[in-house]
Amino acid sequence: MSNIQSDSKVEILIKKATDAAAVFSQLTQEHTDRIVKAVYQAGLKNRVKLAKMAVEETKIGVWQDKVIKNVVGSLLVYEDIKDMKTAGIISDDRELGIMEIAQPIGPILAIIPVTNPTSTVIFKILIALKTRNPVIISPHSKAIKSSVETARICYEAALSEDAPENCIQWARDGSESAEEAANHRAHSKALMSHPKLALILATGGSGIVKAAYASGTPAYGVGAGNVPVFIDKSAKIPFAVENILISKTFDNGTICASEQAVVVEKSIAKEVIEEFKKQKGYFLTEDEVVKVEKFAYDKERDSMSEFVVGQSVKRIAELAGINIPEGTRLLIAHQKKVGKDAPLSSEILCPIIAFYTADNFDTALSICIDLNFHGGMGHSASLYANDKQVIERFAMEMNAGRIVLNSPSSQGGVGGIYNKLHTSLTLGCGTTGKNITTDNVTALHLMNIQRVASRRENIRLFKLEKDLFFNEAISVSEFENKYNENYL
Amino acid sequence: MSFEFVKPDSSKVIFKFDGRLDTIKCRELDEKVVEKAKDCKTIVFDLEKVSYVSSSFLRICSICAQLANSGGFSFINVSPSIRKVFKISGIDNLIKAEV
Repeated sequence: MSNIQSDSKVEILIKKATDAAAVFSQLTQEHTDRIVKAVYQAGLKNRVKLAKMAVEETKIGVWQDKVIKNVVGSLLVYEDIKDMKTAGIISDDRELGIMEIAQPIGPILAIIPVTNPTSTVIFKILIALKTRNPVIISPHSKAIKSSVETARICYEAALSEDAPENCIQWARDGSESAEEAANHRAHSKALMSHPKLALILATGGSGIVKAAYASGTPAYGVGAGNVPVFIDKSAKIPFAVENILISKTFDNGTICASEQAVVVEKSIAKEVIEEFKKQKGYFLTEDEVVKVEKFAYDKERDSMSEFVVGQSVKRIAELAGINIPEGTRLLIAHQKKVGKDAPLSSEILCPIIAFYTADNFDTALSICIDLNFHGGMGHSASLYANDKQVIERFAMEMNAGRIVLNSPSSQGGVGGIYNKLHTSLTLGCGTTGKNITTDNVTALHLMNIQRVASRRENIRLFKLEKDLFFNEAISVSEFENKYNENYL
Repeated sequence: MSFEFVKPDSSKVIFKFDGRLDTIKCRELDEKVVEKAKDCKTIVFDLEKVSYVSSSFLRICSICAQLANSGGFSFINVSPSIRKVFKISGIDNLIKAEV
């Protein structure tokens, strides 16, 4: 595809999205909610078909778990957003004199990861439509078919409730020529930096997230996590181990909020190790750690190997050339260091987890901090404890948008399953993760809120004598005293 | 029928639309409008009684703007909310919208 063709394809997508945005601006809350309901129901209805399609196409994860992800992306997201006011006047506080009006933001580009394609498409479409914004789905090159089919199903449902035409589009559908496919990067870049694009919702690898931020268009980008999970002495160990296994094995570990390293104090290490073994965790020998490291980590890319992402324990063992007991659920690697010298201390989205034993609480906390800052800044951290002081200390030291307590981190980070966080498949990582928010990104982040400010005079300011403003001899404390007079 | 039209002379047509011009309604009137507008140099859309326009209506506007070579196509009696739709879509760059 020549640059001219690519530009014209981008212009057509944006033109259609802009027209849809224009029509969307007229919709009432009631009409918007009808559209969102129809879309969520279509997503839920097709949860099994889409999950199977995603696994078949990407060869990543477990279809049964992807069904659950589709339920989360449709039903739980809908439950979370259905009562939000997102059109017109959304609040009116007469005492404060502030009336808030929600306006749509305009066309959104939704970048979809290979690990969770169908659920992320449903989620991003729901929050975009709820806020009356058109959305352009940009599928991962290895998940085009399943992403586009999901978007198509959602679009059909939206149209059944008279949604604006082209409120859902997709940037490619897999029918492109080899030349067009090769030019996809330039096409994406042109799309991301188009002046009429309002926002990018980027979920994926660090490359695409950086590209989104570099485009000049406002973006919510979510990249890597490297989630430490600390099991404190006050935790119920069998419960903690069971929950970590539920989380880390879910969809073969593809969720970026999944645990990457277990940290325990020496005093309970033996008990934790025994419990992991009891629940079918397999501790790798030193030789096996070396073999797994070589296979699981791509030193050239300085990142997890794409060959392990979302693969089963059995498959990973086969590929790494190690023998493991039948029924093993998780591969566990004793580690001493954190950083480039210890590849398994990095984010690896599959059922491999690092295991650290610390001399005491402070050392354990330091290891968690090192892990947190080693590629997972701002994302998530996990803690099992029944001691409030420990909870507070751990949370204060972590640099994480969400600290998930006594629950599986994968499902806990997503929200709506084990806690009351907003259900989201785009988890904000704060400024250290180059995000503008630490929130679980949802419909609330996709509106421009206008505030109508009624006159409510600041009487303390108005009562000040004019001379006070211009008299440099008046000290700051005198000025403050005058300002606060009769108001303390 | 969601529109009426008058032809003050053979080169001018004024369409008066009514109600919600949603996708289904536009599908009904699309060809009829184009048929009546195709030989006219001046095409006017009166939107006084229109409460909602769909993407399909924007497309009809673009076609009529082309038929009338842009300069001869205009709107009258456009409500503020529909004026905003024209602004967001950029259709007001193609045509003349009069209140």
